[in-house]
Amino acid sequence: MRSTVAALAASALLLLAAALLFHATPAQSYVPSLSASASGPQPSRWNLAAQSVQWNLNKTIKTNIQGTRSVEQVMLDSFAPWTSVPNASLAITEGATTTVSSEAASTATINLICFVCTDADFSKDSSTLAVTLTTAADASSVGRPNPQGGTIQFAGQLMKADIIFNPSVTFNTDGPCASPCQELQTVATHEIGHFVGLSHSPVMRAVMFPANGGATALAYDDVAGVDYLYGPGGPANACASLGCISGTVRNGLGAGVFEAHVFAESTTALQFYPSPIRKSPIGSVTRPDGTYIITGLPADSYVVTAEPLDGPMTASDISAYAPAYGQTTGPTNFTTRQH
Amino acid sequence: MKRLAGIAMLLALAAVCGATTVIPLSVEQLTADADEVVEARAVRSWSAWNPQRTIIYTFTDFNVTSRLKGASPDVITVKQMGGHADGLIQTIAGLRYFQDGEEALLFLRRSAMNDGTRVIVGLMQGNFRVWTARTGHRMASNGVPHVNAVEGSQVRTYGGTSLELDAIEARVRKAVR
Repeated sequence: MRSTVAALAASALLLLAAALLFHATPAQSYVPSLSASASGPQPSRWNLAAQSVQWNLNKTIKTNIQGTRSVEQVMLDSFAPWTSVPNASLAITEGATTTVSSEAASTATINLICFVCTDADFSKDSSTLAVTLTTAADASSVGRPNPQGGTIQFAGQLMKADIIFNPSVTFNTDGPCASPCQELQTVATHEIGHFVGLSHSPVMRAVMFPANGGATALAYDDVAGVDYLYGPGGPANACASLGCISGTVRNGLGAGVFEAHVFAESTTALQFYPSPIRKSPIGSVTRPDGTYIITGLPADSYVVTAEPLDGPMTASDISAYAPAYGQTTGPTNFTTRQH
Repeated sequence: MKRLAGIAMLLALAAVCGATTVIPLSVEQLTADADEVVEARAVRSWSAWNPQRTIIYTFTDFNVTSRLKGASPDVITVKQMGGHADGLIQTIAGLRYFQDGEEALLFLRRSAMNDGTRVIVGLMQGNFRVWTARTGHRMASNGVPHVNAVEGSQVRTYGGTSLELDAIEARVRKAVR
């Protein structure tokens, strides 16, 4: 199907202007969760300078949880890669356990992790393994008290995140298992990415790629996402400590191409981050005017590629992205280009 | 090879791996899991808190235009978790909400909360947007042109963008028989 689309659009010319910048105008690299606001889309992130973020586990499990490792240990092991990302400060810790056993009873003061919550309607579908429900403030809430401490200081500020594992699905705490069983840690690691404010990534090697690839170690793309949200400069100064590449994706008529996937892939064997962090391309998605910026790039040589979101990841995997810009889905009738 | 996979997908699987972590469901599985399968047009959406003010739901009223399974009333309300209310935005990554006037083929269950609303089977997988292609064919897609399927420890990528509405209707009717 991609071949067909490419042939139809063969006459389209994609112009990609890429420049290696180390102090570029910041915007969203990777794909953070975005919320629309009067001042433009705002990334969702915790205000760690003003709030201590903790997760609250209901340890109750049923027979759908198999394996010898406790769910508490799995959650600790699943949070660890995120909270130890280099160059970022993401201090999220285990809080008091809770007996809350329904999403409806999960108040604003806790960040619930639940294996027995049945009031999420998806729980009757064994095809949905888990969901993360995040609550963020919009601009009108700035200045209001935050139930988890302090006041709301910016639009997009995360105020609560709950992870609900489907009680109809069999999970194994020890490792990979035969279908329909699912390895709990791979699912948990992905859901925690949503917990910290990331949406899905078009980079297939990333933990935040929407399909479960069995990864429990972060990829460079995941690290870049955390660095963007929680690095020394925050999103407003995302190029403060690592490299950025920015540019514009245009069609043959010179118009910017919205919602194109642009990614930088290293051309060397350099391993910037220590194992177990896995080397991967680092990606971004273009804004309505076709501009993009890829942040969190270690010093290296890169090839930059622009491609349509026509699979394996598609616009629906980041369905909040276009509405956050007041847009509908971007085009997919252009060809992949590398520079 | 990719095309072969795409064709296979069109024949066997109309599925989606959108938000969160899901296992794709075929049209036949969606039909089996659904109380109702309808074609409908969205006429109104709004968001509201649950009584405990812990969850924001987005509700969409649909005018039902065709019933493929079940005996739906003429107007149904579909409920989805997440939405925007009182300065707060609740989100489940990947969930697609409806716009007024949008036509959809919906695989629905009655909400477990017994509140008269319907929920979409497979979180978002039972939500097929319907439109008329340039060829004049009526098409339906569950929102994801390509599919990422989790099958055990394997991740497979399927090609294929959408199905003709007639083809899905036939498969649903066959599955209902």
